Amino acid sequence: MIPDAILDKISDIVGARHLITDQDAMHEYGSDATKLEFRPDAVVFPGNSREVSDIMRLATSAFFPVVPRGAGSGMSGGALPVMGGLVMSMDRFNRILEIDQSNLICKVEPGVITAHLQEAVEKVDLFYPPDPASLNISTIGGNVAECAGGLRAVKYGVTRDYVLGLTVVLPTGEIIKTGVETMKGVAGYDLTRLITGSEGTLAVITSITLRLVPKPTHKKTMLAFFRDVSGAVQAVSIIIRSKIVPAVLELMDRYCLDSVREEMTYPVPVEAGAMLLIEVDGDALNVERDAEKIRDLCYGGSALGFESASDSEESERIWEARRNVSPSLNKLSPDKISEDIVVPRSRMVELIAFLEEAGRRYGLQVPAFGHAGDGNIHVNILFDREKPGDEENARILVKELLRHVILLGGTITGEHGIGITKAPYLDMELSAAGIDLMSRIKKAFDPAGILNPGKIFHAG
Amino acid sequence: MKFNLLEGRHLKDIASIVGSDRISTGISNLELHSRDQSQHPPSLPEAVVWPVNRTEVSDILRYANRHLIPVTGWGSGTSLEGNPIPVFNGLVLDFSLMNKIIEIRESDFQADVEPGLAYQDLNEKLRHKGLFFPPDPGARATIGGMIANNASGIRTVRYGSTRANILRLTVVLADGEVLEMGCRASKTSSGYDLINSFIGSEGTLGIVVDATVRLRGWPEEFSTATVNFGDVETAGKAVFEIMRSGIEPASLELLAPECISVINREKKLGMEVSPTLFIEFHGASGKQLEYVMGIANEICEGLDCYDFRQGIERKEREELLNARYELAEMIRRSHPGCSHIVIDVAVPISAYPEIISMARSESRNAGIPGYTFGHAGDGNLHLVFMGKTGDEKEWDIIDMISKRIVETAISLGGTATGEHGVGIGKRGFMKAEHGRSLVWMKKIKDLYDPNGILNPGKIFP
Repeated sequence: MIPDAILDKISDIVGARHLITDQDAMHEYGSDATKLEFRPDAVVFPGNSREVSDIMRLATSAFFPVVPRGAGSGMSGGALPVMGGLVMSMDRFNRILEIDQSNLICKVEPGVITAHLQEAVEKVDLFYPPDPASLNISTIGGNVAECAGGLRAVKYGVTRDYVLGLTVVLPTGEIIKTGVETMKGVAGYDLTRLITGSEGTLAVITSITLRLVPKPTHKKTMLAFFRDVSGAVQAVSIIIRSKIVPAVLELMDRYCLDSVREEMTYPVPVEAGAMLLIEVDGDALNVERDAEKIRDLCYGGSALGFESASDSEESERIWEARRNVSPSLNKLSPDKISEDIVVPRSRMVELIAFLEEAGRRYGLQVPAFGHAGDGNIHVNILFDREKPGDEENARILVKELLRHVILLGGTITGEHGIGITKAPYLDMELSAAGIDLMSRIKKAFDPAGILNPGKIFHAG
Repeated sequence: MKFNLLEGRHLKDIASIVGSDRISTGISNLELHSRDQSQHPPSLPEAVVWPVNRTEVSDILRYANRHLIPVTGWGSGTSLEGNPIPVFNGLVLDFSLMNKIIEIRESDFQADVEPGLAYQDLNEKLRHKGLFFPPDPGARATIGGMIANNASGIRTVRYGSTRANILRLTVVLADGEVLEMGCRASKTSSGYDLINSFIGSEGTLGIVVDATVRLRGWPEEFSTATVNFGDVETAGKAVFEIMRSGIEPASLELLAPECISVINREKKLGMEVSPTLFIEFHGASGKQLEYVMGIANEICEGLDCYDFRQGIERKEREELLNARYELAEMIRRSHPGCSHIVIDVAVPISAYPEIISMARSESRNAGIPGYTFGHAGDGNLHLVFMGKTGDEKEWDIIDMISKRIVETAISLGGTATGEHGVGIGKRGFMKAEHGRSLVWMKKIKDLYDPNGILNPGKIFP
């Protein structure tokens, strides 16, 4: 517990109204999208880098944990105060500082909600592509900390690809600026990318310079239905091999398709066991041409049906269905474990075969959906805690799955981060030497180990 | 830094790792590894070693680390900022025998390669598969060297620098530890991003022994144009507006008139001697490329360009591209008895016209011949100054104006080096550009390489 005398000092730094110590009021700051719950000692809402710096210095000397927090929409527990301490909410860092239309960059504070930034830049015909499914609540700071991806990553890349520079406060209290404001620069080591994706364990981000791109003028959303997942996955390969890079290339298996079948405004062929949601964007000519080609390729393959949205309203309805997949799966069973694995595209068929086989073997439903275009599949292992053996089987299946993914040359987390939920498996993917180097980096930045302890490194 | 001199017993020990036929102390070999393509003074290594696999690299580093012997990796010596010059002597590891393509995985758009492979050789192999590895720094750069320096080139404006095209690396650390990082999946958020700490670290943090690179589909169609303007600044404005319009050029190069003259003299291309933009689009259909080229045309006409020549055929296109790749070399050839320095600043694209005009007037006022060109679409400006070798007075002036240009670029929100790296020549600007961050870069260096044996004398002031 943080002693009262220290809490008083924190209160002096930020002002009493920006510190919560009341248990009931703190409740929501102890949980995130993992639904796991922990109890912070206090929640602080700093208003500028100086205050963050003062708190960090205090934490290092008085030795209490500081856990930076955006919207708490993380999927791996990155924002959870697993060792108690001080949750540092970045809510008040909520300003878009500058949208520089000439240089296609913007400067934002970390608490800005992803969707708000997107709206703001789209008003001036610019585009910030990373779009994690939680973008209506997630913050840019959280996206940077976790290196969030999204549906458009297949064409546009992940958050890391858009972060040009950062202002961060280190656990020592030092405030440093990293990176550039130019499209390229090679002067010295890349601290920006080191901190991006470090899950709030190396530094607290207080300002972010992002690269923007011109907004594509046109887009078209399409659906293709297939008898089974392997048919759909083959179509993905064919599309990519034909040198079309769709902005979105999403796969849903039968479970997912069934869970939203009723909402679909298009006729879904009864025998369809998999669906691709495809979106192309660009200028008018490009979009028309790519859409036509994709249609031909799908039909040339094994598509049972193909639909194109004729206007933005229709495509919005398609999107609505996609966004509802994850919540709808909750209806199928009371409990689920979500994994966020990536395999090389050519290995997706093997992965899907494994999921079907393992699901059968353990008597569990294993719905899969996700960003097929870049081999990133969200695998959901459904179970019922009440049913004897169910949860244990689910956990064994997860381990088998992750081991299999590594064998296929993949990664155990494509965009959700390690946090606490993947920490036990980190050594499946990384060698001891790699983990050792990472922990030495952690130690150099945070010698007292006060910043977001208990994350990434297992049982540290 | 206190390093040990390479003694007979060291040579014998290292020879027992690689075999005596793959270590040399012959003066011609030492000289070949004493300089790159920069003006920085050569410095001889004490021995050159040609490893053939990661185990040898690991054994050598472990040995060198224990005996405090500097080790500098060597690709093909085509860098421009003294990056691989062994300023503290010691060992140079030449990777020319580790130049294999290990595997090409067409359906994943990936290849596994060894570091000594020249990027052109990879692309030659990929040609009939309809794929390519986009970064194109020119010369005979090796992929290992490109990773070390995060090299970029003419196509970077569309396809990104080397960094954007690397998925996985195996690196040997200073103590001989072999570390694999990244993976063959298209993305990962697993742990800290170690891979990007090595890319661009100029061989000071570790030595790459193999890499998985990302490939792209070779475009179906090309559309190429050259545009002539009345002055360089207006050409710079056109660059800015083209980038802002969202039409995604695959290259957007600026060539000042003095560069065109050099090209005409050597290549007999008969180009109009005026500020020129080289614009290229890559795409899937001719119709679409016609459309985007139309937009570029409108922008340039709006800025009173006086010739917009499009529809350039393949043969001429390749001639132009080659001329651009060889430009720096041609400039050097045209000034016998002179040495050169290359400015490599990058600025936010809106400041591009300003930095061009500032740099050119500095050059004019000082009466020093300067050649302006660059990857304009990235905001990256090159300026080559030629000064008489050994003329100290002239070189003092060149150093002074170079310094002013770099400082101006940094004050405009830019960087001292867009693509050549810090090496020896840009160390002095690191403090101005990075402030306190530089301290943390040094901490990273000490963490990875506590004895400082890897390419000492680079990056840090």
